[in-house]
Amino acid sequence: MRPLSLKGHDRALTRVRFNREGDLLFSAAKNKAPCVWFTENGERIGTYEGHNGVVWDLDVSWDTKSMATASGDNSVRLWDTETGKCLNAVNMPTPARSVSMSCSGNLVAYTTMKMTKNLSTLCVVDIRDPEQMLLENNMPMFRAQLDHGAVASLFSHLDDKVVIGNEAGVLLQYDVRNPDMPINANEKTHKYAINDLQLSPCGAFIIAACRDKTASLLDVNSLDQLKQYRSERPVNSACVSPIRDHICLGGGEDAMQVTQTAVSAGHFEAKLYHLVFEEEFARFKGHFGPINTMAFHPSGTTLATGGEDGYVRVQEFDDDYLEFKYDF
Amino acid sequence: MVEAEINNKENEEVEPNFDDPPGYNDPISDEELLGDVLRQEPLIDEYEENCLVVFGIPSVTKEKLAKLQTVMSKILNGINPNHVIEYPSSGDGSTKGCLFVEWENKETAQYALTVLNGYKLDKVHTFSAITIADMKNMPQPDENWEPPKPNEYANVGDLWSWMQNPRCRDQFSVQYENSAGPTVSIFWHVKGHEPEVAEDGSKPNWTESVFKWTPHGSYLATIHNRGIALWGGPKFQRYMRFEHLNVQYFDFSPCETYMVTYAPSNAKWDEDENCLQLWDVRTGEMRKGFSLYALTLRNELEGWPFFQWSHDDKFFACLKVPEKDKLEKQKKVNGIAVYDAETLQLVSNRYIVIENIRTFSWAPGGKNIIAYYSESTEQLPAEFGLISMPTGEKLRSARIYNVAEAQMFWQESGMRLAVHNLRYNKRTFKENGEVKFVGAMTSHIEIFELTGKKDVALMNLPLSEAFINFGWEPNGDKFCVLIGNQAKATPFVYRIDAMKHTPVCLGKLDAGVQLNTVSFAPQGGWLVVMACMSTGGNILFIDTNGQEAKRTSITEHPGFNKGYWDPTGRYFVSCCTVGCRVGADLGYRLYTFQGRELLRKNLERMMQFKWRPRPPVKLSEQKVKEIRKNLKTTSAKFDREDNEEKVKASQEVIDKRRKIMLAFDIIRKKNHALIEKQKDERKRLRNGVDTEADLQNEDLVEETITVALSTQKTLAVLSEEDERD
Repeated sequence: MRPLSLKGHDRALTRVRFNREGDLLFSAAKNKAPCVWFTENGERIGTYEGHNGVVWDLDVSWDTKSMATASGDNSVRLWDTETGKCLNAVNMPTPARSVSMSCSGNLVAYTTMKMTKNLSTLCVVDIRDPEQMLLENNMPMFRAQLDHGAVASLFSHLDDKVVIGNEAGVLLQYDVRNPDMPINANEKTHKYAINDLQLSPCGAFIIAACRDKTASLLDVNSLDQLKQYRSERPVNSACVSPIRDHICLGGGEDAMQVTQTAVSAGHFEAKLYHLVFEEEFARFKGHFGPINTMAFHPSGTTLATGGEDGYVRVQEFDDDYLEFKYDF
Repeated sequence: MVEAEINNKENEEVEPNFDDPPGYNDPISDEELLGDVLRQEPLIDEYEENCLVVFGIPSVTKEKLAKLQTVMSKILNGINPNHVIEYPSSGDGSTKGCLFVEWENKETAQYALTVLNGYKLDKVHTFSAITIADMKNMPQPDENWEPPKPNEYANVGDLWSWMQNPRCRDQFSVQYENSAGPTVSIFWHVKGHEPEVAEDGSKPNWTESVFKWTPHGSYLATIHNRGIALWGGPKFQRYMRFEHLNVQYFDFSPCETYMVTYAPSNAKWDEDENCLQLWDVRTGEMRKGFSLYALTLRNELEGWPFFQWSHDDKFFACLKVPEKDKLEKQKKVNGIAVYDAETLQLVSNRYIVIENIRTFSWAPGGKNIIAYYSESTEQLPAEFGLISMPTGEKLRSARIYNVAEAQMFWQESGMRLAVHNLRYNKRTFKENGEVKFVGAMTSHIEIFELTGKKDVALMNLPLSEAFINFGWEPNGDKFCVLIGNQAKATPFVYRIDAMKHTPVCLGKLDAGVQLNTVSFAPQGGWLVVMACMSTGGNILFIDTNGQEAKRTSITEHPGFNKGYWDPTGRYFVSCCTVGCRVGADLGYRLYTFQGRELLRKNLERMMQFKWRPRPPVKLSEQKVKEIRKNLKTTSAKFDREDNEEKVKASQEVIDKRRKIMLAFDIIRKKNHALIEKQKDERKRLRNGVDTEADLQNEDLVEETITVALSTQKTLAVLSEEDERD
């Protein structure tokens, strides 16, 4: 199948995600309305109207019934995916930067940015508790204050552990029952802002994408660095293949400098690496700006990428990909 | 004489005793008695001006003195017969190797000085002369002075050990930054593999700014605040140190016999007598210090290298000191100062005079010839010429009208010289001496041919577009000239045919891209035309071996700023070093001579990339023939070796991977076991739905959804996709 190039957002993409079955593709961008698409043909089904600012992140529950979004309009919203209706909106004093739904889909973790007196926070709310889902919510079930703003958050383990990666390159893991102290920390692996955290489909590893031009594979239980993948440019997003020992990462020359560089020098390609040997073996061209976000389709043969250029590309791998083998 | 002697005898006998009796006090002073005569008595100062000390005279025994006297008298009589010689001798009557000569006046003494100083009697004896007056002004030697002790010989091993690599591999060195700081590393280039670090060939902070290979590759030179250090041998041990505080530039003569260093003088307006220093590389001895001010009348260096060397290290040259007119205004430079490297004196004790000289350059091979370009003036056209050294004979010169600018390109063999000259239509002189050119300029290339036995032939090649760059095949008869503009350049390859008056065009390789540099492979035949320091970074590989020049490939290395052939011409490297463009990927890429990429390496803050040069090796004709004849069998052998190596290497890689995989699998199994345990918990969280069950076992209901792609916009996007894919 030819790659699909989806133009539904007029601004830079911030997040693409497949639902668990892989038939739907959700995308969020710096414009106000997240979109949902058919993976098969790239047709847009609809948009989610309600936010009044950048939508930084979205996550879909395991059963695709609800979706959570984090926005620069200082709110986190919960949506009915099928009808596009906004179920709840939780306001915060500062913009929400990332959002993650738990294994059960009942808990939503989100991070907020630091602004003036308000410190950056990591909060978890239970969507079943109407108290916590009030518009002016001051009572999340979990609230931890952070020293640095966190751009990425992720439920790493069932409904009880959340990992965040902050702008200083530190990874922290919290137990949702204890907001006072993180249970694990990794300060060594990265030195610059962590842009993205994703769980490997098997649930055993976390992959972190960092501005320091690397992505790293971390042990989900201890946050220890297991592997590191070097790229020539800042990495904005990385994901692990559900079927093979491969990872894919994307990024590129900083958006600020894009106008000064030739496309070939910008490294706007998605790069495939071997999960274990850390070697790059293939690239996908297509975007003409940095890749901001990417996701593997659950089948492992399709990849969705969202770029600074405002396009979502859905790329199906050719048959050679499945035949490609590393000798060992 | 005999008569006089007799007289003397008589006098002795006859002459009465005029001596004053003891105790007699003379009432008349000498002044009163013969004042007028005494006044004529030469002063001691005057006498010292007239008297020369000559050193370097053969030291002979008493018996041979007479012979020496005749030899010396002959020389000295040639200057002026009116002189007195004195041979100081030691106790046993043998001479001390010096003599005193007294001349009748100061002028003769000065003339004698110029003749005698540096006079070559034979191979071992060279005179040095000085007046006694000057000698008195010399500083006293230090009382505690001791003869310098010989430096201990640092045995660093075979300096050419890298040449004996069984697989004929080449080395290259890179300066970059790793965890240990700025590092210089020397690598073996292994075709198709990761480069291997040479033994002891990587040191952090090896140099304070840059490193250099000597022209034959024997030593690696590093620069430090205290001076220059040379490293060599199989383990890169320190071979020699050259102390020159705050040294900024250094440079080697082509056969790496000499080194020139430059350090700016401490105080900006002070003249430093030794700011340029000439060293002997093998002994580490400083041969001579030069004052930059004395050589150029300036205290700042205008360009480096300051001295240009002849290809055999026999001579070095720089432009003559500019003269000053009556108003202390500098005149235009009008000559070249050529020094003999052995004696450090001007060749034939004089400058080579060329009016309005702009640049000159030595032939890089063959005979010792200097090519020069002297600028046009209001009256005279520009001149290009060839001067043979050390005779100073003009071999050929050409005057060309309307030259605005020119560059000279010697062929590596020294057989041909190409001169690019930009000619104007009309020019005007402004009052402040500035020259303004009016109208379009045309580019021409003049080629001086030194191959013929008789005269030097001259060829002209007018160019249809603006000149960009030029390159000779180092030893063949081809050249490539690049013409065009900023956006689009076209390389033309020509061959010089002895039977024809103009070069024969072998091909026009229109790439339609930006290019700015021509670089022929060191062994000739293959050629690279590239665009250094450009966003596109195109590199064009050309084969000129056939009847027609052909493009073998074109590649891109965005933003690269330097390209180098390896010394054998088998590989080409393009690199991005610090300073090429902000945000570019620093590192290098290696290609075969045909442009197939072999290796791509990114290095943090890469500052330099240098292939290790090879010393010139001359194989006998017979040997070359032999190699040609056996090429088939030897190349089969090489192929076999290559294959074995490949198999071995891939086996190594596989073993290594297997180990990594095993280690990873342990962690993976552990984590998967944990996750497996929580399966029930997950099922509970998801309301009893087992989301991990195989999808195929579920009852899938196939739904057909008809989707109408109706809007024009969507269609347009899709059709655009069609085109792109």
